[in-house]
Amino acid sequence: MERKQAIFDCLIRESLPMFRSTAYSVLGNAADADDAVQEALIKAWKSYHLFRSKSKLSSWVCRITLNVACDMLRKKKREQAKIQKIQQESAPDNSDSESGQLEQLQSAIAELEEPYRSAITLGVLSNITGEKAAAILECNPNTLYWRISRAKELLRAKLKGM
Amino acid sequence: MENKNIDHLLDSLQKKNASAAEEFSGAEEFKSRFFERIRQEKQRSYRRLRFYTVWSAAACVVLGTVLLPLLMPEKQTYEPDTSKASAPPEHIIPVIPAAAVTDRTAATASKEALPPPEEAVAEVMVHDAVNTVSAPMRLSKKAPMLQAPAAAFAAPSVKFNTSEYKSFTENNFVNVKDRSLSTFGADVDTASYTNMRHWLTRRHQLPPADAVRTEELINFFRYDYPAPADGEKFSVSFETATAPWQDKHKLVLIGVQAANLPSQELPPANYVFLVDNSGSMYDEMEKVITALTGLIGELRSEDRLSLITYGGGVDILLDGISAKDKAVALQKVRQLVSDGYTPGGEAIQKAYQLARKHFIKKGNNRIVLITDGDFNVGVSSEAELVQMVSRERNSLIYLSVFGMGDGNYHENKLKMLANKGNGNYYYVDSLREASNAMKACFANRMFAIARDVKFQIEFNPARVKAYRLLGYELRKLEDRDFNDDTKDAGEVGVDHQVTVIYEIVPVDAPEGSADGGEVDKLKYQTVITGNSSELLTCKIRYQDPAENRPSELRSFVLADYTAPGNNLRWASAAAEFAMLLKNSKHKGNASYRSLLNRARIALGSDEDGKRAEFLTLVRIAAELSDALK
Repeated sequence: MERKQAIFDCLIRESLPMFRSTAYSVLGNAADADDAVQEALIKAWKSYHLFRSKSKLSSWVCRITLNVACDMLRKKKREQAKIQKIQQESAPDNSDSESGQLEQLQSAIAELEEPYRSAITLGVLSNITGEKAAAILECNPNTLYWRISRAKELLRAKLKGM
Repeated sequence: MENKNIDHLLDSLQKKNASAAEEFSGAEEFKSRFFERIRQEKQRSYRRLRFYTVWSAAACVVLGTVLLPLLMPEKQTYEPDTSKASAPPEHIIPVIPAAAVTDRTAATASKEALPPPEEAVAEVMVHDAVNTVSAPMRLSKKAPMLQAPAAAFAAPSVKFNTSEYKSFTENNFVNVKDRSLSTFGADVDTASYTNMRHWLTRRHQLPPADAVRTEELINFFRYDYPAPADGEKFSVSFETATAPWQDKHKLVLIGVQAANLPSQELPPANYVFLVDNSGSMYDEMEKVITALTGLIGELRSEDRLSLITYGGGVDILLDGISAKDKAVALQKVRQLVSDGYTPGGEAIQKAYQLARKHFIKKGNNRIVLITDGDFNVGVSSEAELVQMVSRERNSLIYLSVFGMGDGNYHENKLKMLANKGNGNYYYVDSLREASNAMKACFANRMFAIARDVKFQIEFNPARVKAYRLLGYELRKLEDRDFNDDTKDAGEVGVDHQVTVIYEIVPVDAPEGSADGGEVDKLKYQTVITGNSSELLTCKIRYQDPAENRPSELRSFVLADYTAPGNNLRWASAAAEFAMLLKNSKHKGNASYRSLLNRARIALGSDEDGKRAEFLTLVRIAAELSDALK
């Protein structure tokens, strides 16, 4: 138990910025991102016995963080949708302003399928280098770049329809 | 939204993310928050565990108090079963282990008239009586509840049979024109007979086919053969008769009698007793102690003995002491208890070391292994064990094996060991066998007068069309191995007898009577038969047991069919019994009735009562097989 605690201590000290960046690139605000990272770390702690040291521990936790953050975002969107229904579109239509466009883009990203969602989140939005992102996703950097360009196409198609 | 906009938006998102680092609180604070949550998680799961434990315990108590009294009438069956006289100790020993074990050893040590089973039964009755007097209600409710689990765990009433036998296919008819030579090693073991007896009388079942070896059933009995001439080690006599189960065929008996030596002329012996006292031998220790006591009693003052046990570990209890100190040896033997697992391989190596240490030149150097063959630690595969024993073969140290046990009996390993270790193999199924037969074995048979004894029979194609050797399946040799002294074969001890039966098809027998399958006539060769009118020639090759010298060869000729005699009558009855037990495809008209009739005629004086016992066994088997139909 002591050993496990030391490992996680070290992990947080070294890789917290990476986790936070990952979560932030999905959720778009620090408080939610921190919650997501906490959640992901607890999941990792509980299923630590399943971790095979084939990949790095930080990569593994990073993938968990990404999944947790995307789940959280989806949940948040659903709640927002409910609220919007109640308020009957009372919110100002800001689809033309840049912040509105960014929000649309974020939700479109969250709706993307795997592996494109993780490719664009880690490879473009977070401030993780391309090689590192590829290592986290356990794929070749070239594959990652291909996925990113494919993800961009998908996003374009999605946002056009809006 | 325009297409080129996407890259721009992603860019601005990325910039926003990059600058987000300042929005986050310090890493230290995050870490402490995380570990605090982990601590809470742990507490929560601990509380959950406690909750489930308490409630499941409570549920058990409720079930126990409400349901068990309702089920009590059925639970009464756990009461000791008094109908089975031999069963009580198994039920009782687990409940009072210490007392039972001391009683056991004490009873054997002092050779008191009261055997442990009765003692144990007496104790139970007292135990029960106290319960009945002081609290009659408790006996019906609580006592069975307390005793039942212990009895159920320690002495399961269902014994799983994990016995292992080496499988083999029965000999077929061989066309003499194709192969006129039949070669095999002498086999003087009788373990299969005692094992078969054990199956019939103790387990009340027909033995499995692989457990029945025809030659061992035949060789269990003594026959009336002439003694060898002076200076000769063997005499050979023949008998022939019509095959009782197939009237177109003939039977040929070859009886080999080994020379007898008065026991004072036997050279001194160096015995290493290797006793398996592992947990699996628990039920056998009494037999082991009885057997060893009997064996040690037979030793002469010039003999040496060692005693090794292996159970929890390999222990050397006696290291080559002189047989003059019999009292010391007997004391050690009486203290044997079973315990632990079985590092069999290591123990056998140790035994060979001791045997070499106390080696007597020109003497009888022999390891006597007593076990159920359940080697489960160390060198454990059959192949490795055999390899190890084979390596020791040329050291002129013999390995005799006494197999014991029931259900967990690994015959294949034991038989193989004895064969490869130049020794004999016995199965001990009862206390009587343990004391009498083992003593008898030691008195003479434990001293080999010839080793690597091989038989080769040449049939005359002018007289014999086909032949079938009854038994010896596991002892068959290649024809060329007969002249090869490096090839291992059976051992023959002082006053041993070896009996061999062939079922032959005479040349003048009607077509199709050899049920070994007809082969087309050869196209390119014809077998030219000589002028001889002899039936067959039997050659015996053997080596001196105590020295590595080239082998000697003797040959004996059977000129013509003889009148049937009692030896063949009895031996053929034993063979017929084996065929019936194995459900042989060559059994023809064989039947329990006809073999019983023939055996009764050949009963003879039957000094040791073995033949009368055989008749009983045949009757049991007949009843069991009728029950199967």
